[in-house]
Formats: sequence, structure tokens, C-alpha cells
Amino acid sequence: MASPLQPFGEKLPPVPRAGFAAGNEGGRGARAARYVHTQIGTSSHRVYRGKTHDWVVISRKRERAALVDKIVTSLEAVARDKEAKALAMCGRCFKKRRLPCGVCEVKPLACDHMLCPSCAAERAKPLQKRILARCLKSGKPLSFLTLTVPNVPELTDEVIRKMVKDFAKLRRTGVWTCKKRAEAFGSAVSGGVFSIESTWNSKMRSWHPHIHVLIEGPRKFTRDRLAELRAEWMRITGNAKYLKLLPLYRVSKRGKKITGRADRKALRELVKYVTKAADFAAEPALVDEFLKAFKNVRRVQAFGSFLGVFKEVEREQGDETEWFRCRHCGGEHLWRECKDEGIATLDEVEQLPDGTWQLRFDFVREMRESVPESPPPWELTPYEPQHVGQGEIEFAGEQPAERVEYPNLFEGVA
Amino acid sequence: MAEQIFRGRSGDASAPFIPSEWWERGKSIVFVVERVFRIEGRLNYGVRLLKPVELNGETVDEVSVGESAGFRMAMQAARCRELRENDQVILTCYGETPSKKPGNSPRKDFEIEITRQEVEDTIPEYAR
Repeated sequence: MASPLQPFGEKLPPVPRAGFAAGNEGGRGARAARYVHTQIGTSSHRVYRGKTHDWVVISRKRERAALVDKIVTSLEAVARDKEAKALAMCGRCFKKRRLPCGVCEVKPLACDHMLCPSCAAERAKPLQKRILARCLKSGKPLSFLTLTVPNVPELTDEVIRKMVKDFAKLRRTGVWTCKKRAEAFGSAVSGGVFSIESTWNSKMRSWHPHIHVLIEGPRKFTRDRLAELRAEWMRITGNAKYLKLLPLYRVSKRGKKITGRADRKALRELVKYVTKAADFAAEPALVDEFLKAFKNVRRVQAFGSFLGVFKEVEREQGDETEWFRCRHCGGEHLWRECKDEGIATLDEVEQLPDGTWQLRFDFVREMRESVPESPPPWELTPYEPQHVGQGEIEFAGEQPAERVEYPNLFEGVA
Repeated sequence: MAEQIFRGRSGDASAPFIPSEWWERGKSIVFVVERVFRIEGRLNYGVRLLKPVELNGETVDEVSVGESAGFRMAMQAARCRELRENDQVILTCYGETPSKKPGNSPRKDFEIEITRQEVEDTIPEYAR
């Protein structure tokens, strides 16, 4: 029997327990939910709320946490304890800063480790913004090029540096610059951005280094030009034969594909900084090999007309003499007027719905902290009870010599 | 696209299923769960709607709701494993997410609110 929806503020009579549907029962043997009126009271209800996108975020966080766990274990195994600790505490410690308007701001401290997925995403965001602004400014068509080299059993910094040098040689060739070429060959590549990556193939037990390149210039590569580009790459590297060229596209609001144009989504594949560490995170030797190979290597670089795009990002880190607009009071403050107030841990802060953090309001703790540690104005001396012996009791004053009998005042009264 | 075959009892299928194509951004249904049944191992719910809806040209107030991917994810986000009989539910579609695999239909995104009378936590056993 179906129970009607409970109107607000009213009680309904209890519904008899509905049986399960015969056969193919669901709910893992769960009892039907119903409310009960008893002498103690009516059972209360519980409300569950959720959205599909919330679960996407939750599962993504879980995967990240599991990956960070594996990387931390691997780093500890190869005696990189400092890095392991920084990675484990990333986002769990907060820097407290008192602004001139009185607000205490908290910001999570980041580890900035190469393999940290959260820091990589934060590092990539300003770069993606800059590159997208630069792409939209010029309005020239864009393409996505992937250059690969044969897999290597051991990843070293020499492999990475050779790959970068070979790409620099490719940029000086005629197929790239279109020098002394017919007009039908197409326009030269004016500039672009490239990123260096290396993934681990667990089946073949080898590394796969490659370069992703965003190139600006030619609307379309002809078949002959593409074949020549492939031949040049083969000649420079000596053994690499695969490269892939795709026109970049973005999807308009109406769902239409517009080729030759970029958007944030398209740039995410190029500038993500995120290493696909899930493939090798559980093997400490591979993690160590990867970190040694990419030490002091700039993983994202610009060339040609895109030079200077990243310099503006480095300048935005926060100069002490610079003013910034406070998001709390709306006023402008100097960075040097802000005072550091130490570090806060995860149990002292709480996250707001917009993703920012604030100190948790703990009234009792703050009251205790604000009261000075001084004794009260009255001083209580400890009471020490005096123990009296049970033998003699001394009376004050003289004992009467004789017993005196006093008359009963109420004698004869009825 | 792979063919799906549904088998079940006639009683379970008495209420028509709400197809995925029926859901649009902003569409919402409010219902009480009447029956819980499984088809090919997947949970489905026979529900009574507060307001009747139009399906295949007919106005119905008893429908069946299957556990699609978006629906299941919304339930997981709400920390609720499955619906039970007499649960009061508000289910709203707020959009769709295209599938990464070519040929698959987009995933409908839902917001769900479930009101359930919790007997076990609030009333002791001897007083029930």
C-alpha cells in the first residue's frame, strides 16, 4: 500500500509494512522504511541529497588520493623522504595571513612536486589561460602535432635532451620554415608551444617519450608536406618514424566543430603538466628514474611567435611592493602589509562551497586563548582539616560545682 | 550499439519505464517508491508519481524508474545505496554529459533528494 506524501508539519497514521515484490527482490533484504508512533515519540526522518556531478568530483578525489599514496610509498622506498613528506602533506597544511582589513586568510600550502596531480593542475591553469589568450589574439589556424621516438628501456636525461635538440633541428628545416618553397607548399609555421612527456608501457616494460606541439600557421598540411616532415624527423632522429598531425578544433555553443581554433579543453591535452604516473607509481625504481630524467627540464616551452607567453605568468607570483584587491573588503592592500600568522592544520579550517578555505569558528577555544593566564584576584588558601583526638574534650569555662535544678516553667499547664 | 534484452515478470513491468529520451534539463518528478525489483541484476523501482506524466501519448501516475548511470551516481553522492519502499523522492534532471566513447548516448545528470523514515536510529527496539 502506498503511503501518501507527508504534508508539512502534520503526522500521518503508520502504514502497514509493505511486503517485498515476489521474486527478483531488490534492496539486499532491506526492510521497508516506515515511520512509527510510540510513547517515546515519532521516528524522525532523514534526508539524503546528491547530484551526479558531486560523485564525479568525489571519485576523482579518491583516485587522486590513491595515486598520491602510491607515489609517497615509492618515494619513501627510494630514500626521497623529504619529497614524500611534502607530497603527503600537500593541501593539508594552510598558511595563515592577516590582512590589513582584519580578515585572517588561509591558503593551502602546495608541495609543487612534479608528480603531485593537484599541483600540476594548478600549475597548468595560468599557462592554459595565457596560451589561449595568445591563440585568440592572432586568429591564425592551429594544429596539433605529436612527435614520437622509439621506446627506451631506461629513461635518462640524455634521452630527453636529445629529443628536444632534434625537435629544434626540425624547426630549422625547409619543411617547417617553407624557405625556397613554392606557394602551393603552404605557409610557414610561425610559432607554437610544445610539451615533453613520457609514459610507461607496462606490457613492453619500456618508456615512451614523446612531444606534443601546438603549431600556428598553415591552414592545412598537404600530403607531400606531411610525408616530407615525416622523412625529416626520421633523418634527424635516426630511427623515429611516427608522427601525427591533427587540426585543432573547438566546439561552439551550438555543438558545431570549428577547426583551426582552440579552446581550454583542447589546450588541456597540451599543457596539463600531469604525468600519467598511475602506470608506474607503484614501482619505486621507475619513479626515481623518471624524476632523475626530468630534473631541471622545462617540460613546457614556447618557440617562434609564442616566445614571451610564459614570462608574464612568472611575473604574477606576488611582488611585495604590489597592490592587490582584497576579495573580503573590496579595498586595495599591499602585500608587505599582510602579516604571516603561522600554519593551520586541516582540523582548524573548513572549506566553503566556492572552494576557498576559512578558519573554523571555535568559540570555546578562542575564549580560552583570549583569557590571560593569571591567577584570580582572590586567593584561596587550601583548607586543612584538623583532626581532634577522641579521648578528652576540653570545655571552655568553669564547670559548676553542683548540679542545679531549674523549675519547669510549664508545670501545671494543661 | 549492443542490443539489450530485458526479461521479467508481468507484474514488475506493469508500470512503463521512463526512457532516457524523456528526460530534459529542468524536468522533475516527485514520487513514492512502491516496489523494488531487479531485471538482469539491475535495480529498478516501481513508483507512484505525485503528478501524472505523459509517456507515449498516455498520462500515467505509476511508472518504473531504472538505475541509469547518472541516477546511480547521484545516489552515491547522496550516500544512499538504494531506494527502499516508502521512500519519498524528488528527482530532477539538470543536464547531460556527452559520452567519451563514440556511439554511446550522453549521460543524463540528476539531482536527487530522498526522504526516508529512519526507524532503527531513532526508536529503540523495545519501544517499536
